[in-house]
Amino acid sequence: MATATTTAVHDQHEHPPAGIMRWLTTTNHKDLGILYMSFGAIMFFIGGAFIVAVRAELLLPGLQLLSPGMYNQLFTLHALIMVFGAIMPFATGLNNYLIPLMIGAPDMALPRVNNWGFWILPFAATLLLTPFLLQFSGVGSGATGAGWIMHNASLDLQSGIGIDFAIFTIHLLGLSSITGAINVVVTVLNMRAPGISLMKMPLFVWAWLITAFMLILAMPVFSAAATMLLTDRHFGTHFFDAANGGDPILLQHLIWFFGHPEVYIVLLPAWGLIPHILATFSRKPVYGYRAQVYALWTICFLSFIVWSHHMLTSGLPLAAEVYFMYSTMAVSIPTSVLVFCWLGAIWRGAMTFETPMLFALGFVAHFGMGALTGLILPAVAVNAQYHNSYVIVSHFHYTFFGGGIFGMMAAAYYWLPKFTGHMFDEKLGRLHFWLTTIFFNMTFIPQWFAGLDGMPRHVADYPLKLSAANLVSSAGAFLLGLAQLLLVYIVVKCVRGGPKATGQVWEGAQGLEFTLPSPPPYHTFETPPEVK
Amino acid sequence: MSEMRSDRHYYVPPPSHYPVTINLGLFILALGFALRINAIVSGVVPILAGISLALYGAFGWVEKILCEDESGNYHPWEDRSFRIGMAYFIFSEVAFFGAFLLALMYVRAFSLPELASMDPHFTLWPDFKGTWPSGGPKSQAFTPLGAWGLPAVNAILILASAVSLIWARKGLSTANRGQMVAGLAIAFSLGVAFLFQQAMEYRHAAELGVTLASGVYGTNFYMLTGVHGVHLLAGIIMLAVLLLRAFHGNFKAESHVGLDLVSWYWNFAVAIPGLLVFVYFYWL
Repeated sequence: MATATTTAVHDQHEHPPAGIMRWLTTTNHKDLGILYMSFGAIMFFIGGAFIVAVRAELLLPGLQLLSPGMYNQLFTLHALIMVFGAIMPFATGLNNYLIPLMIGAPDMALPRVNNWGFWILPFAATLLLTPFLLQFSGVGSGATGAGWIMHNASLDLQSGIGIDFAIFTIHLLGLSSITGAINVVVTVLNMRAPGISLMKMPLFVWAWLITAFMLILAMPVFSAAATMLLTDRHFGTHFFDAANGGDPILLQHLIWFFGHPEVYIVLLPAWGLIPHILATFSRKPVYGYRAQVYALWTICFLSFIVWSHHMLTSGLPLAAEVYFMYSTMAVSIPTSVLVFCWLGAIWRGAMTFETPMLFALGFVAHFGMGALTGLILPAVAVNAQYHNSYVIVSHFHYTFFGGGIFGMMAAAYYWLPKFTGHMFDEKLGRLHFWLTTIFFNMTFIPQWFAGLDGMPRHVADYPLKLSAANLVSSAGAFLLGLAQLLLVYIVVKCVRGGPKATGQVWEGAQGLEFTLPSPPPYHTFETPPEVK
Repeated sequence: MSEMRSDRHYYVPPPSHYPVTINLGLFILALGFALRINAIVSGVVPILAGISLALYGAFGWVEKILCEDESGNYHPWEDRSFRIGMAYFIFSEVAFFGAFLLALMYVRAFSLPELASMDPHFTLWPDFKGTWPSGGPKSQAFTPLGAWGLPAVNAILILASAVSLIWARKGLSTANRGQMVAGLAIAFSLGVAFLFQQAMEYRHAAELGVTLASGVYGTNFYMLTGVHGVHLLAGIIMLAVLLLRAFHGNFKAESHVGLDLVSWYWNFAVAIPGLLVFVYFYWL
């Protein structure tokens, strides 16, 4: 879309400090992007290890490996780590690295704030995991086990130190997300090179701008809810205590007011980058640019008025249930616009199936399944049966893993040669895609059936009739985890060497970042490029 | 706009250790606090150490920004970044405050009427009435706080401080430095007076039997005013910095981004929330 006629690239700064201090004190968007992405990748494996233990417990009926309390801790940590530790930081890393390159900016607009936002994350992760580790030395009762959204925290089912650590983790994460989001908004609104009007920005930049708006509105509400929970637990307030005139449903409202936009916060960056990849490997321009921008805005708006579809069985008035049913179903309209635009992008294109393209197509297929089931779930009568069952688990894994993670993988493969300057091993990449796809479906297809058959979430045991489904699902999960080790090998190999990548990288690639050499120099676009 | 951009570099600051220092402080603070409220660690040393470290980082960072500003590193392009950033930061602060305000409205509009509409023989505690203001079984009897004493005076103080900031800004643009300094000083004193009165109001509330544990009434009173008070305190510190800078001759008619940002913060994250607390908690 955008072509740079001049790309002045020179290094006016003295060299960054060496060793660990370079990374601790850096204000460079590429350094921080790499830090964010590496952190996301590491947390992806930690969160994965937790869920492997959970699936090992669910391999056979009965309790073999874990106590129910430990089981609760593990799935809760898995969720918190995957959402806040893996997908969001990885997406933030992509925006850090790519947005300045895509809009011809010298850096993010607030570079020190950028550093601040990243370096909260390792501390937040440590804080979250501290009680989990402390329990093994006999201190406290372990990490939070109340679910990623702390649903059960107000019911006194969850006492112990874990929730307090989770609350402070949420405060730190909130700081990180909000500062990161503000930085994106400022960068996009103030740092675009002359000639890049808003409606000429790449869709990835649009998607992140909208994500940032959602973060700025939603994340403080989550922090506020966590604060209320903290004072309820330790300072005698009664926000969520019905016995003292408060209301536990208020916690659910506040948390889902954040939690539902959060779903789109996780997905929007992927929705923004998929059109780039589909267009590149179909040798066609992005299809339906305006329609996609408007659809993203519509989803952003709708995401704030549908939160109670997570609470349809909590005893809302009928009028509210019907409203939240229809408003939720309305989300499928802009979402379908996106899906049809993606299909339009590959329609009659000269397609080739390199690894990023495979992951992008896998994204469209899997996300489509997650989205279609999402259209059924808010139906009030249907929801009464599916609520808190494995149907939900499978549904949101099709959107988060099939959508979010597949999208991030597609992006990782697509821009990896740009980041490292080397091409990755294409054969292994394709193998990684096929193994991931097969084992992902092997893990989650059985869960639809287990859920329809009445298997509840958040329970460490299940009836004998569900044995077969769980056996297959657990086997799939183990293999899915193993297949991801291949990704580590591919990335490490690519960082260490391989065929030289050109600036263009992919034959059909478009965009300002592909006018730069691979890898781009430490400082880029210190003078704004002329974009026609 | 475009000429301005193409003939100048955007100022990208060199590496800085302040952000990570603040984060380390916040981490120690959170860890110490979490361990202390669970009685695993009894001392307050980690909490104080964390706060000191975070404050050291914050002040170092701000000092650095002020030095960069005064040594002419910032131009309208960089200033615009600060303006947009502050606008969205205020937006997030308002969202945080708004959650507490909505919690109050939810209790008054939904949960209490719903409890009241139950079976007439249902009762949460003796003499339970599903009406606002509602205490709780654990609280002693209390008298709700009136709106037309201290709270009304405070609402006027906070409005007056916002007006005097606007007046100070006007002084700057008409090159009347005396007016600017006076306006800042008045706004600062009004803020301090508000804080002092709020403390008096807390003492008054305690005399009336309203505690943090007085059901949802005490909960909402202390948390709502507390969240507002913390923002107010932050605003007072910002005003103090502005005042010191004004004495040092900072702020010119063409470069005054710090003054603008603090007055936005004061108007939208302190004054308007203060009025909302008055209207929705005390008055209605």
